[in-house]
Amino acid sequence: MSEKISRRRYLKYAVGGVAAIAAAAGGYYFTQPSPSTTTSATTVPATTVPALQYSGISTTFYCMASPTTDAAKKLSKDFDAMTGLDTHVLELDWSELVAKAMMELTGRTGAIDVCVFDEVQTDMYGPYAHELRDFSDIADPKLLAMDDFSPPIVKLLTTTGGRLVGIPSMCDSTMLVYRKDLFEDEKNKRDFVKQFGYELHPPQNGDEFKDIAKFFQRPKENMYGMSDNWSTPYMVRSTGGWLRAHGGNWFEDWQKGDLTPTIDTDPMRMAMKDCIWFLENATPPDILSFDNALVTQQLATGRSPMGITWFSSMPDLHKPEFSKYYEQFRYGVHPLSGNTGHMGWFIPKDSKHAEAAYKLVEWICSPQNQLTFVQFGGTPFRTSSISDPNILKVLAGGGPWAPNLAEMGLKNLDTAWSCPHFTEYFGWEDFACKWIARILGKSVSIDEGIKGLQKETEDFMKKLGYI
Amino acid sequence: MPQGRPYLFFLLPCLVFLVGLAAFPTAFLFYMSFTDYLLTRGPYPQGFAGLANYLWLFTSPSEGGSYWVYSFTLTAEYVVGTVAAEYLLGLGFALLLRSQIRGKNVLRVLVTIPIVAAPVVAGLSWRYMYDSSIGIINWTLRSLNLPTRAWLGDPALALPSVMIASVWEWTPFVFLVMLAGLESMPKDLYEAADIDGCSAWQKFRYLTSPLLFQLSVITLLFRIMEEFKTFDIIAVTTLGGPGLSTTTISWYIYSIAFSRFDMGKAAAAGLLLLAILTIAITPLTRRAFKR
Repeated sequence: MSEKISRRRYLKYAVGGVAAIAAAAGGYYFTQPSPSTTTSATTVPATTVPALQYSGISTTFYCMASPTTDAAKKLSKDFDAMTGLDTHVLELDWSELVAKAMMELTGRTGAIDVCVFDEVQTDMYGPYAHELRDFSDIADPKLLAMDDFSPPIVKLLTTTGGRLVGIPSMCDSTMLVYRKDLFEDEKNKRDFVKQFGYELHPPQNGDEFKDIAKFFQRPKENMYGMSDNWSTPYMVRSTGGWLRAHGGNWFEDWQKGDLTPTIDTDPMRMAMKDCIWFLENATPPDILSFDNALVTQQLATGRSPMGITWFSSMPDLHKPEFSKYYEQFRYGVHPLSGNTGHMGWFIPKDSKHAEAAYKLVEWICSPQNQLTFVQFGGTPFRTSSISDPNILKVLAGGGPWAPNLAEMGLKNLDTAWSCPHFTEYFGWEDFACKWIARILGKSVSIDEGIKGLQKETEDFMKKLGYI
Repeated sequence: MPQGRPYLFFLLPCLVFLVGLAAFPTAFLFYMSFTDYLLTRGPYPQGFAGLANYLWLFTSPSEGGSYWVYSFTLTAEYVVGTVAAEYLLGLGFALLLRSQIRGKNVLRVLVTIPIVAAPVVAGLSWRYMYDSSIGIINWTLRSLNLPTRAWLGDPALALPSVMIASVWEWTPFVFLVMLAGLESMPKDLYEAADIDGCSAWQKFRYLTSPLLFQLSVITLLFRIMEEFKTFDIIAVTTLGGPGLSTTTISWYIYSIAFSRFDMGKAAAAGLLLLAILTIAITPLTRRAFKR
């Protein structure tokens, strides 16, 4: 028979339980980043939606787990409070998000109201059965300040048919990151001039990139010249810069709709030779397993003094708890050609609450809310951000590196290349990455690999009717 | 046995479940494998492809051998290596921990711990242990002045490294099954063998092995089928790389389905795998249940 609990003991347990829950809730609440009350330089009306217009309406927002999403969640809560909307944010890992979004759109479930996507998917999601909303006719230029978005982003979120299907949510491209202290070290500077005959500085082109990476290749000191994302699923993007640097391209001119493969060319051969040179002389031995997170780790631990990685990853490097070199990282334009990875928000045509979803996106992306993205550890995506002192005070911890980071992040867009846009791009990228991986892993020769990729691409494009 | 409608009525939920979740999807998969079905081109198959998807598996790419054959061969090597190691280690632990040794119960718990962890957690733990700069394995090697390795970054070492992680995780399963089998053996046979003066090896060879045979075959069958499906550990450690060195057949099929969004070819690849495994495993299954 169980012992009867006395009233006093019961009250003690109840008070203790409530106190524990209150402490946990308080701890959670007070540890959330609280944005400052400073406002962004540009001031526009908060929203055109009358108060509580969307009461009783619920929207679903698919996002990739990232600081951008944290900011979007906070902003969507603010919007909900103003308009009565009930927004559900679903955060997923990137590859899972792409597959899930494709399933929902293909199945026409109507489950998605807003979804984040990469500009390379602009033509993937439309113009077929699962079309996306064209924003050209509904986007309010004043509220969104479209001319304040970097033109390449807007262009890349526009389909080859001329439909603007994404509102920019993040501007991203790969860029050069290097350790200022190592580049300014007097001994390094003297030794470099002695070895290569010119001053040590952030590399401006492919030859300098090779020289400097080789100079810093010191395996005995556990230091390796350069790190980049060379995992198999990423091969097209990481080797594309070399191809562009040699004057080549994957296709003739995808932006004009010409998808004739131009892979079996001398620029491609030179690009592959350069990549193999890097593998043999100037990178960590395990670089073929590096994803973006590992590249950031190499820089943070000092194992690589120089690397190529994403603008959006850079704020992490300036956290003292993440890297003891947090004050030393500086940025430059990608010495070859960075790869763009802009993100946008799309709204499917079969969204049940497209108008509410659009107003939500409009609010989140408005200029006055740019600061919120930076406060949550993200990166700015409006041109005016470079000179906004409020943003520079907060970006990546607000240190002396912030103006350099903001400037270079947006400057890289001028030279960055975008992966070709066509509906089956990911299908092509999948086997292209495998071919390049085989070339770099030397299981096929450069010539065999390039000819094989050219042929398989031609067959693929012919079957799809592009050539 | 009940006759007539009430009998069928009770079977109905089970039949609905089987048809809805097993029979229909398998039939649709079979149908998809003969169609052109790119998810990026629409929600339904675009046309009839005949055997083109199956032929593509053996002819793509045109140079250097097909990926499907390569992945299947790689997976077969992976399966043979991991299952053999799991069986030998599992049986070895079971024989050791069956005998009366000190701390037997504690050791049994320690040996069983890996299987408690979710496969993704186990894979992530190994990924960090294998890390070239911060991993404990290379740290230990450095401390002993031994050369370090790029465990998951070297194409020659990546597959063995993943195999070790898998063996670590699934040996406890074999251990538990073998231990249960050993514990259920009749003791009088061993007593008779002791009286006859049999050595430990003779007892193992003439008593333990034959008695454990059926259980061993069933355990091996389970492990072979599970290892052929290996996906989670590849997804958290190597993503099929570096290069193609850990692109197992499951990972390859996944990449066709969710990178290329080519459902027709993915269905063909999956069905072909199913057919091969069924043909290969059927004799083993018959043998297992015959004796």
